[in-house]
Amino acid sequence: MKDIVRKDILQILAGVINILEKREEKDYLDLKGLSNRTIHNSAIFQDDDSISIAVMVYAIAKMIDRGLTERTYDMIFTKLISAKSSLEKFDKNTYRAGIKGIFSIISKTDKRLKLYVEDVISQAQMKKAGKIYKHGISIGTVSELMGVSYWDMLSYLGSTSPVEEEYDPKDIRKRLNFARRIFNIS
Amino acid sequence: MKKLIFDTGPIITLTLNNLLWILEPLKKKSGSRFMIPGAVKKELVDRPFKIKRFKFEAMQTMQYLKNNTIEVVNNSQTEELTSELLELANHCFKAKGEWIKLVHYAEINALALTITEKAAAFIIDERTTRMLIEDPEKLRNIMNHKLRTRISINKDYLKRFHQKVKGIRMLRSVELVTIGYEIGLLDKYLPDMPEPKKNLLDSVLWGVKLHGCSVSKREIEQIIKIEKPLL
Repeated sequence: MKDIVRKDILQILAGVINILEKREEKDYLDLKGLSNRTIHNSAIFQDDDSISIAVMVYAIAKMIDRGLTERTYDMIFTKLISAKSSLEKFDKNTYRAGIKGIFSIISKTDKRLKLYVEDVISQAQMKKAGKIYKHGISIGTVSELMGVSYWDMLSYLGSTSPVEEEYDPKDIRKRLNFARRIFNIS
Repeated sequence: MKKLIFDTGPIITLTLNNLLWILEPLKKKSGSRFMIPGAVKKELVDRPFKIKRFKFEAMQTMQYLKNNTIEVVNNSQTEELTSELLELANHCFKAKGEWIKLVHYAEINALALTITEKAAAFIIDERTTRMLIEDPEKLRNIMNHKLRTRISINKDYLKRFHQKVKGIRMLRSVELVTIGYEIGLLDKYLPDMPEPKKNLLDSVLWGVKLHGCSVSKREIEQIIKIEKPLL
């Protein structure tokens, strides 16, 4: 794990713990904002740690929005503190196991709630995939990074966060003329 | 015979819009071969076959491979060029001391096939790959802005990349459907409403945009303006 990534993740974990400690109405929005913090590192380094923290924080935000039991909340909170502590001690294996444990809690809780067609973690993955794509990384690269299919990426990108490409509209006439030549249209 | 090489995106976009069928008449009209490399076939068909989501759409696409509307082409020359181009493309931009992996194997595989087959056009919607070919400085500026960090360019690698892709002409699915519209392929969808042709064209252009084609609202407006004599 690169040091710059580690430092960024520690800041995010501190932020998440701070938000969850107080338990306020705006937790969901604060967490959503925080989940974007590692997108830059995700796009540049394309490492699992930056990506998983972004997905995890967003997934926690969604779960809070839906409503978590006190017990589940406490379980996630405890694991976050433990994960942060491990990472502070440079114990990345224990840290990663902790994050995996949080994902497992989210996944089990999500299955019990059964409220949505698409599970929270998949939603979080697609959301973050869209963000990384907007930072200039190709669809194919992002889909491989996030473990989602090209079909999923296009379906999601087009309908939820289409990129407004700033091509000069004058170019479109040239492109269409070229297309007409290719397809033998006078 | 002319050759047109397809990347993954345009085929998916057409399928998601129930417009994959236009490939057959377009192929006939152009007198071309429509081709994809093995890596694109993997993204189109092999991967979604393993999951439930989009499995049926992948089966629909498979039909067009089976009936040879789209040919799958693999050769060692293309594979070698793919590796070369990938190495160059993914070592063009650097941030925070790290080379940024911009593009994926399949995207570059299709680009390589375009070169080795001396294709007339490369059909690709994907914005990053297209920008890297057409306007890398613009791509760098976007990344500078979004990543809020300085992006440095490896000018030597970028130059070598451009030497290899020089002369490549690209089209998107939005241009394909516009041509389809022009030659009357979409007339069966003409609605019973005022300005039926304009509505049809507008809806199909937005359809491809909302299913992943990188085309701006301004470009769509411009296409409708260009097509006005036919409306």
